Amino acid sequence: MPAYEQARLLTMGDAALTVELGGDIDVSVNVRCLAVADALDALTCAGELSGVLDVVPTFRSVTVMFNPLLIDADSLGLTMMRLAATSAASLQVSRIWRLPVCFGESYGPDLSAAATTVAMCEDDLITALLAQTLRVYAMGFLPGFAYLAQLPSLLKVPRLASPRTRVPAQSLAIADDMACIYPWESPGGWNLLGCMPVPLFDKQHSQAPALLQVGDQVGFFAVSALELKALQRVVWTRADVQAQFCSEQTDAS
Amino acid sequence: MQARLEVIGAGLGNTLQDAGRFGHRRAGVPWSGFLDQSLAHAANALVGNQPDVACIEVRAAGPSLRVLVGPVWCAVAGLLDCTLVRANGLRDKLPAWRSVELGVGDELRLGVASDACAYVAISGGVDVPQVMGSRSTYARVGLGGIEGRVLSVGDVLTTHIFHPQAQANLCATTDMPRLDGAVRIMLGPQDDYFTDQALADLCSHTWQTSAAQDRMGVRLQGASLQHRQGVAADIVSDGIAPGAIQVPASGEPIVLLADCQTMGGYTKIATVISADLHKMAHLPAGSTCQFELVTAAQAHAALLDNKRLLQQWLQGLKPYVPVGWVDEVALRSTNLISGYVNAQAVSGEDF
Repeated sequence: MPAYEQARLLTMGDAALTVELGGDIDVSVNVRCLAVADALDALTCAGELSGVLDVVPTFRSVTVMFNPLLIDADSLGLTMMRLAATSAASLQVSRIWRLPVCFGESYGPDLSAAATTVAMCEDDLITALLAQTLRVYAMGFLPGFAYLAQLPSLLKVPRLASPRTRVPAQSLAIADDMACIYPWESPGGWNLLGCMPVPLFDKQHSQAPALLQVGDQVGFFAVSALELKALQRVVWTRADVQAQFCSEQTDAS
Repeated sequence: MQARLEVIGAGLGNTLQDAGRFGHRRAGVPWSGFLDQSLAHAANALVGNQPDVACIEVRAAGPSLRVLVGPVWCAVAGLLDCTLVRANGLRDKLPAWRSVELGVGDELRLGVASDACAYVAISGGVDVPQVMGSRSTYARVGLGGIEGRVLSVGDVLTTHIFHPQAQANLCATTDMPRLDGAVRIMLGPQDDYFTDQALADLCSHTWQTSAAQDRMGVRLQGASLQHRQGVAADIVSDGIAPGAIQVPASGEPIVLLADCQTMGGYTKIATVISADLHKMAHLPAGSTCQFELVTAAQAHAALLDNKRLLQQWLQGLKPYVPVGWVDEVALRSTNLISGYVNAQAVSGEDF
């Protein structure tokens, strides 16, 4: 079972606690993590957890960072454990994104090798990927960076043996059972398949600087190199991006 | 008034920092902010600033600054040489722990931060646009500071409005106390992934710092901390906090600092307590450190100790009176100073 029978509370120094709900990547565990994080955020906003500085849901746990002079770690830990025990997968609104990707050519230098690895031709690999809707399991590594999972086993490609020192921003990449889009140029060891031109991080949007958030569903559609160039020339506002590429649906997850 | 200073020498890796950027880790945005908060608070106090306004963090060679619009008061906190070159050509050393008034054309030439972290505060505090609630520079993706990067020749630092008559001409009666000794840690969150020998080695070894360090973290050398047999060295990525000591499969620990990423997949054997995390910013390549295991209660007491020591030091600040001056200024300003100290005491921002 990926979910623990009882959550584990882990100490990270005197100013952070992590409550762990499971050991593996699993959608039901991730949904509960999001519920715990949202509940902690709600308590913080209501002024009932003063001293909490950041609440971070990840694949299978939630980390809370706090000022230990303002809040007692033991009582915060009890609150986290209580929420972990009572949180349930609930009816929630998911945002569904369909994001444009230009595959191959110079944008996807690993497309050909990845296709060989999964014993498909490039077009079949693209078609199989476009059929997927992936969940944002966690945000991190870099501002606006989303971990998208889970890819079916027929699309599993291992990480590169030696990581690149420079991955261009906007690269769509896959590794193991995950996909990601690099919001910034950075080093990286994932297989680059294409370019996704919509900005994933907007520092002016200070309430929610990252386009994606944990729980979002993400799929892709293919665009040509010409269409990519046109999309790259657009000066996107967050409202434009949402109107063009996002829909919401309520579902029981 | 607002002062303006031009960067005429970039130095190396100098950034603007304030308390940090909180509440955005969920979007993957690290805190950034002062690596040594008490030292930054000391620098700001010497020029009459609120504790958390933006100032210059110097990790290696400091910048050189020329005053375009003044007067302005500057002060250095930490082990950092500073030469003052007046507009008329006179040169003088500016010792740390006291402020100095600079007029138009005067220059501040900063040397090398010999223990890798020092602060230069400017009266009023440096005014750059807030990005997600903070002026701290996060150079990796270009947030905060000046265009999200280190200081560069030609940059102009504009201060917030300040009142030249406000008490900015302070000096300390003693250097700020340096808390030497072992870096105190608490085990976890993944100490159960390590062998008993690794847990023992962590605190018995003398660790050496390498040049592989920046605002994200410090890599340590000295021993290889082994993961238990049959246990993977990596985990499904989870949240990480500054202070966490992560150990990749190589066994060489990395202590994470203010710019560290928000989540990661390496196991974290232990975490440096908040009271001691600043010590990790003062370890230039080739220095050594040791770790000491403490309890949560000891970590809490240490944090209160730090706060008390800083308050005591701030209360010792007095007007700086050059040799041969009548002490009239000091007499007149006594109330202003105690007023400042009280303002510090209620701010509660000393974490």
